[in-house]
Amino acid sequence: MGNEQFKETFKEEAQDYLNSIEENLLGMEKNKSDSKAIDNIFRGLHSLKGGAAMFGFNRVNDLAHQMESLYEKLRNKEMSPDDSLISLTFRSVDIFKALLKADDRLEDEQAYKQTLEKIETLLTKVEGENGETGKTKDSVSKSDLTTYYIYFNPSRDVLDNGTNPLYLLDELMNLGEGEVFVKTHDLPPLHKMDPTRCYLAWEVLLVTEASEEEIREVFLFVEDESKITIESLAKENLLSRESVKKELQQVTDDRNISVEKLKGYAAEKHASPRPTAVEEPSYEKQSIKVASSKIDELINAVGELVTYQSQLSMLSTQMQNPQLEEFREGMEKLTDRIREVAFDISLVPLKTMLLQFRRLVRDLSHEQGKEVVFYTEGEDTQLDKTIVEHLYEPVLHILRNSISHGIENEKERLEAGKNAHGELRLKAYYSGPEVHIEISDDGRGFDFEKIKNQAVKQGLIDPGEDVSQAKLLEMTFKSGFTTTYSADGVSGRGVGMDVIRSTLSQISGDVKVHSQKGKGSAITLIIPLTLSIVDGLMVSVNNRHFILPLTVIDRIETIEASRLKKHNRIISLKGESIPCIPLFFDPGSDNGGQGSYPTIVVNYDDTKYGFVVHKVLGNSQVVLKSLGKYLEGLKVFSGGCLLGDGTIAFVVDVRRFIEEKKEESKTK
Amino acid sequence: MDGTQKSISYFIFEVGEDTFSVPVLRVINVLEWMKATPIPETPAYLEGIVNVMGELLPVIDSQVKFGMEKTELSGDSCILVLDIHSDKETYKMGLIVDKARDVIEVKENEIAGVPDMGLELNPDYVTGVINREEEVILLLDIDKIFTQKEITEIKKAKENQKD
Repeated sequence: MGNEQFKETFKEEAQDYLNSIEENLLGMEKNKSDSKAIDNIFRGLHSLKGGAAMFGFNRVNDLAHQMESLYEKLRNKEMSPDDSLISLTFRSVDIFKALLKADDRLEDEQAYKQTLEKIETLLTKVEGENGETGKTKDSVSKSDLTTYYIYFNPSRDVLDNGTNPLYLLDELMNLGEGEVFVKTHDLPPLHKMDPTRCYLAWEVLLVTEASEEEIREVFLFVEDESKITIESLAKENLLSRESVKKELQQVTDDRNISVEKLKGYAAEKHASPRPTAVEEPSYEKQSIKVASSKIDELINAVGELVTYQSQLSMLSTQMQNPQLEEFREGMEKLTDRIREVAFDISLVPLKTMLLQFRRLVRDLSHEQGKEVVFYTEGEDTQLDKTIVEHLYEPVLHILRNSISHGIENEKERLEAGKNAHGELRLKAYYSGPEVHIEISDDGRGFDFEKIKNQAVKQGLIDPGEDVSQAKLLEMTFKSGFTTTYSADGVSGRGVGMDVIRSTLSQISGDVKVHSQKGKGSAITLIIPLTLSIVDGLMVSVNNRHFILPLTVIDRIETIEASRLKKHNRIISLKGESIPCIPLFFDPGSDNGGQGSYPTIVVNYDDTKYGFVVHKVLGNSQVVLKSLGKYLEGLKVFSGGCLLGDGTIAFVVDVRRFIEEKKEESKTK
Repeated sequence: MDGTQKSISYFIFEVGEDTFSVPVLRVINVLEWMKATPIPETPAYLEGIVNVMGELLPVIDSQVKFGMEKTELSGDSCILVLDIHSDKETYKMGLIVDKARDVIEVKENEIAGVPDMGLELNPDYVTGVINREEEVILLLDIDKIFTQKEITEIKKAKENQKD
């Protein structure tokens, strides 16, 4: 069972390696002499190979091994990268992915074999070419000995995954000569010792030609859990010095090697000591990996904390006890801080999903024989991770549509006076409480004729009706609306727009389209920043509580009841004409408002709207909860929440509410 | 002993003057009646939302939904938390009933088809009839009663009425 768990971890890690390989491949495609990319790919393959062998992914291991050999040659400049090699690597990445998914079983045996063969031929070709030069290269210009100090303190449970630290030390010693000192100070008394734990640490002085990188590679698989320090002491063989030898004799189980002293010895001779390079002091990692289920748990717990906090606040206001009041204030601040941090943790940059899209654009444009340049902007824009999961499909769909149907082929483009290559842009940016992701292309745009014909066919408009382009675009979102473009069954633009919209509405988002015939189209996905906690203004109508998100609120006004007329709800407030909508009540048959109503003025789409309510109760931070799948159709609320006293309030989705009211007034 | 016949456990409850049942496996919980928070601009049978241990649960009034006359609450009224399976997903729903009775074992051959007439209830809601000791028990198709599309469709229907 434990093994299964490690296997899962390996798979996750392998995914990371593959992502890094892909990313570097895309970089390499642009700049073939990018030696850093080659190095990174090589390293990725190497790590993949190591893990694969350990967990019995033999096919992954074999392929990774062969690929690694190829990249070794690239690194040594025995061959140069070309398009076919990059494609071959992409192919392998796909095969790796499939293998990992299917637990090393092959679905496409042919592809696997072909790829292996291709690598083989490449390798033999290269080896034939530089039969001898290859060998000489290895032994060239590596004469500099360096003395390293290495501290290796494996985690207590290093033995669990079958690692034998002694082998690692052996491997280390194979790099050169040196001395190993075992550190036993952590060893518990015998009766407390658990034979399956590792209590030992080691100090090593190693004299080698190898680079620090190479030394680090020895610890590749234990690096994350172990404390490892590698420090270069001197560019010479320190062990040959008498003074050093003496010093080492004094090293005991619990007396460590004094790095400073050894460095001092090294400096003795060198008149001008190298500036004590600021080596990463203790190799602390800036970030750690956490299972996403744990983050969900954290967010849930914080949600509950916020609810309890508001209960406490309410109680304390009722009791008017100064001591309790003080306590409440402190708790409130703390809760706020925890909430903010937790919220921050659950955010991921858009970057994490972009890689797959770059790959998709590359593959699709190759497939279609179109040259497409994919620009991305705002990759660091952060989104709630649950939201990002929902974005994948819609973005994929839009990109695919753009490449297949939007961007014309080269000939057509040149005829239209455009650049030969198509441009595809993905731009993400914050806009108030939302993130906008705009995907635009400079292709042929939507075919309004086709959309119109289809709309007529589906009875949405009359044949003679003059419909604005914006309205036509809007129609493509109608469920079941489709314009089939070509005879081969590939669907045309406008297909699946309804699917995009419904996916987005699941996360309280929306989608907008702009298109100009012949010039291109832009589709904007509008996504809320977070789904879980809402900073809102609590209002009441007929003693029911509603929450309006604070982010959209402009100000609060008071309007007299007499100004709310039945047929004209547009009210002039401070010189602005603002449509004022009663929030779920009818002022005509109302006695809740005492002559005047508070009105919340919100800003939506650069227009102001007023929400007329009975009472404004104040700021409130609430945890948004789903109203359940059954009420999915109920769009005006983004959810409900529990108030301090256990009552339920509804959180108004201002965007949807306004859209719905607009729709209603259109049908009237 | 005819062990050949498969029998299924059914949960029996009363609404108005009628007796209904659903497979017991679909009943997640039986809660004491509690006041639901009404949701504005929704059909009358949607009683509202209740808070079940921090989770929000939509609740439907079976009397209104089944087109019966709405009666006063009795001390026996309760909320059945049901497990609904739609085409794509499963979700929980609350159903207010007048009385929860018991669980009975029903053999397959005891379930008869729905008669063509004689039911005030939407025939789509009922999948079969059990006859037990002179009592007719209607088998409810809860997946049909609680389809998601309904809420938006009803809303449209309401709008049409307005026009």
